[in-house]
Amino acid sequence: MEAKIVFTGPPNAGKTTAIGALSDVAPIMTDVDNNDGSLSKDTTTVGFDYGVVRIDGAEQVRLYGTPGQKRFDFMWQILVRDAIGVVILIDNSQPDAMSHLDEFLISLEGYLRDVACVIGVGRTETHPMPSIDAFAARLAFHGHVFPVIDVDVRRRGDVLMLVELLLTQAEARLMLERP
Amino acid sequence: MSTMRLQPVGLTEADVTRLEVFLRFIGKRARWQWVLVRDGAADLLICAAGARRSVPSDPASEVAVLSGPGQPPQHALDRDIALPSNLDLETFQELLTKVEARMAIAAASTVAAPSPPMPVVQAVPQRSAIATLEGRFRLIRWPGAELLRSHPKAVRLLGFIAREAISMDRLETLSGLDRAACTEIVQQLLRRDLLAWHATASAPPSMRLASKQAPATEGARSRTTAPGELSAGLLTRLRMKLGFS
Amino acid sequence: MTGGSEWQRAVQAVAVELHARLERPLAVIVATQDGLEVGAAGDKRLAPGRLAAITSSMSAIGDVVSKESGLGHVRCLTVEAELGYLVMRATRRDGIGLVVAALVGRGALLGLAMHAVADAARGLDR
Repeated sequence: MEAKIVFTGPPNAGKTTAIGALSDVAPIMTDVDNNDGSLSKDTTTVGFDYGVVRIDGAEQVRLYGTPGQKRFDFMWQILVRDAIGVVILIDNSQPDAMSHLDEFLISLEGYLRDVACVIGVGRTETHPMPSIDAFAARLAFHGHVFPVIDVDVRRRGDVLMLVELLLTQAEARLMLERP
Repeated sequence: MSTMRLQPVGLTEADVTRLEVFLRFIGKRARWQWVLVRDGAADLLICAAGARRSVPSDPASEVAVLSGPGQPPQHALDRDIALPSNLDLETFQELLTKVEARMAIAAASTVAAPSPPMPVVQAVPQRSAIATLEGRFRLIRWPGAELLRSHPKAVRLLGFIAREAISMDRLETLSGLDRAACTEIVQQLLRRDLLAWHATASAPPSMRLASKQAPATEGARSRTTAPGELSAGLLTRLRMKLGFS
Repeated sequence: MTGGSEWQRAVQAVAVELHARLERPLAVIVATQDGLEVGAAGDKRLAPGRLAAITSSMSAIGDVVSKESGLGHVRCLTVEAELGYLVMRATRRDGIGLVVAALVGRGALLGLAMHAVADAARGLDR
């Protein structure tokens, strides 16, 4: 397990915002002009977003945000490897929000056995369906027991809750693996 | 790992060979192993452009249709997946991903309720499980944000029972919470049907034997952490830095 | 994206020309900065769409590393591997950021490959 936390999810789900809410330094971004007409954004991440939580001295935890489009799924896998955990952010205002979750769970399946995971569903105040219950049921179908909560990543408290849920899982794993 | 069957229909031998080569590279997926079959039942049929009509519609199979040179694919059903005639590895990989996602969605829609990750060993009336709290408990679904926010201490306990079935005694030790707090949280989870209950207070003999047989290196892994690797201490310091209890 | 079919044909022509010019060519990809394939030549089994996404990521990360370390803007990004080289260069055409990438076999002269990719990038630049 390395000292990193990864934020992933489809485009516009709030990954960069979430990292910005936590990072002790201005996040480094690899945003470029967006040429994909299906995305209502001027820019898009093609490498990764990078932030840092400084603990003390030289100790730090790195924060990574992945690109959101499926064509960059190799970056999801590279970054998630050996992380403390991964936050999958879903934008519930997208018509295919549930299939986005499927996409990430399938793509990261080999890694989710070893890293903590939490699903944060955004924009539920204006777009309550699919419900949090429905997302939880879909997780169960995939064979996973991860927390699913509704969040607004513009609120630091919500982002902190996501991270605490990751830490809880990671700590439990370390304690249960002790001989 | 389950097996998924892919059957070519009306394809040339060259196209079939290409599929075989693709499957050698990417047939082994995260959840399924794809194999090519020549007949019998199949999960995915890949049809040549003119062969679609020869395939009876079968809701259990997905159908992909290759276009003819310079022609759009002649698919009979809206559900069919159109493929370019010069199918490349990337498109083939996307096809498998799409079919796997459809299979996952179709299976989820027939599931009445989430299945617990481990079977309940013995059914016990809810009331006696709540009353005695004997046996071991495992989380089958995390509670929602409302309970998490109203019971911040519950979060630490949940991490353990999300990974394995744990008795109340052990849960008290692991979580650092007193018995009363553990009891209240577990009872809340039971009332919400979020826990699977296991009658035995300790792990079955087969599981104990498996843990004894674990290779010696398993223990060594937890003794020291290499530079850059994570330790429980770092997680604790991160917890404190972020202001968690 | 402003590139219509004529625009893409022009980019594709540059990809084909670069491929023809290289020694031991394996593939040439021209991708948008955000990883969409707009031109490709060579072995299609190498999945040009996927290479387009990968090279765009590498280009963006290379740019960040270079700026963070005070080296300025990246001119050329090169990967030396056991069986060959990947040479990449960024450019712009009609306001659209592009990445020109060439994969060549080990027997090729790296310097010539870099020169050819630079020429192709300059040819696209307008």
